Amino acid sequence: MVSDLTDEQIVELAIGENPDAFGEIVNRWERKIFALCFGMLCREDEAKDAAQETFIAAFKNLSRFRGDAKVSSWLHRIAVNQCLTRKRREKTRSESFYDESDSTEEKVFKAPSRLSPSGLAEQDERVKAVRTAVNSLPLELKQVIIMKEFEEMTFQEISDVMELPLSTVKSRLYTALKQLRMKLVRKPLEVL
Amino acid sequence: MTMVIKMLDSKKSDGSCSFSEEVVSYLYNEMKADEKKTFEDHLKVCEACPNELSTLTAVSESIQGWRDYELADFSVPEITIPYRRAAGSSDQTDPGGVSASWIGNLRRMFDLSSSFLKPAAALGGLAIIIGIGWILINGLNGGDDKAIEKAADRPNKVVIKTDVEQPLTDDTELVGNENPEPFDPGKDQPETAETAVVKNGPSDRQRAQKVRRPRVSKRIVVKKTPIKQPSVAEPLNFEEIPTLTVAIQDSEYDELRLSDLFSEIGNDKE
Repeated sequence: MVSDLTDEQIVELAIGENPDAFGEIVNRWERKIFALCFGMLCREDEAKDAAQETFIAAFKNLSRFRGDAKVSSWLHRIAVNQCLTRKRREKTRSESFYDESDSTEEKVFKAPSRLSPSGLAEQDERVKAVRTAVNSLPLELKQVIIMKEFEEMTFQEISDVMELPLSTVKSRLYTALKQLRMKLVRKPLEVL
Repeated sequence: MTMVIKMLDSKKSDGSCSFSEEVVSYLYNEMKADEKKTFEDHLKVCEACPNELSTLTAVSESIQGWRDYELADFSVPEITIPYRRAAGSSDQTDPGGVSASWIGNLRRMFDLSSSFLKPAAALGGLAIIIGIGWILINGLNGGDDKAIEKAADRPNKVVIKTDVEQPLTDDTELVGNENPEPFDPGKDQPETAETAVVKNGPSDRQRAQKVRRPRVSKRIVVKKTPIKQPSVAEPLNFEEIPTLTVAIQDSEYDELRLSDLFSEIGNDKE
């Protein structure tokens, strides 16, 4: 059974006689990769395309997978690069990649409806403030915070993906949290 | 041990704690057991670190709240891998069209990953190189020029290169012919514009220009003309200096003769 194999064994299988085995890799990681892309890009359509391209790029470059890193780290690295490429592309078009004013219309994910209207409004405000604060972070800090908070990756995994020393990852995460705190303090939040 | 030493001297000049970066490890529960115990002991005595921890915890919870909100109805998009078409290619675009761009299509058009196309492309390249080499060797410095040079080395000859067929006479000799059909000197050939130039001399040149005909073939004819050595005592007759060799390669100027030039100069002097 392919599902019993490790990621690395599946990749070996996909490189060899059974390319379709890569489908199991997609099943295992699509949710996390999509979440990472969404955290980085904050737009569902962009995140969907980035996730799709991540897996296609991974499949096309399977033969280049050296095996000295985990498949998950490799996939995350491709996903981060895809997101960065998209951000750069957006930047060159001189468009705001994330426009706060129309983000609520573009957002596909809906809030749970168990809250009262006033509670929903407060939650919307709170989420909006956090989203704006995270998006205003420098890219290298944003990557770390998204991987940690959205993906719940360990420091070591982030270090592998970003090819950074462990201490640098910790330092960036600390800096990111401090900067977020500064940004959120300016906008009073109930949670703080 | 390192942490203990660090903890003993953790106070910074600005009142913060140098231990504070370890807060993130504690916050995300990524400390070893002994490190965790040491840090918890530090929290009891440090003024800055507990505040730092509570603040960063609140920020982290805010982000998690945002994540839960955004991903509440999280639905993973359907990821389609074009297995057959994508295998072995390093192209970053999606052949299925999700993000296919014109550059991606162009790359696929010239994709040489096929085992059939690679040798075909190699053979094509080789043929092009050989063709260019052949043109350089035989085309630019090819047979006609060599024939003209060879003929020009022979004394008492005027080399005429013409684009129209021209019968050979007693005083002419064919040294080159690009006409695919064999030229029969015995066959009665119609007089052409260029023949008129050869026979009648420069006086008919302008008339010949008016009846210029389309390019038919390229023939190289050597006209044998005796040299008449001018006497020192005799006045120089410019019309009788045919010994210069003229090799005209461009059909645009094939009516030009140096003898014409000398003739004109002689007329001017008269």
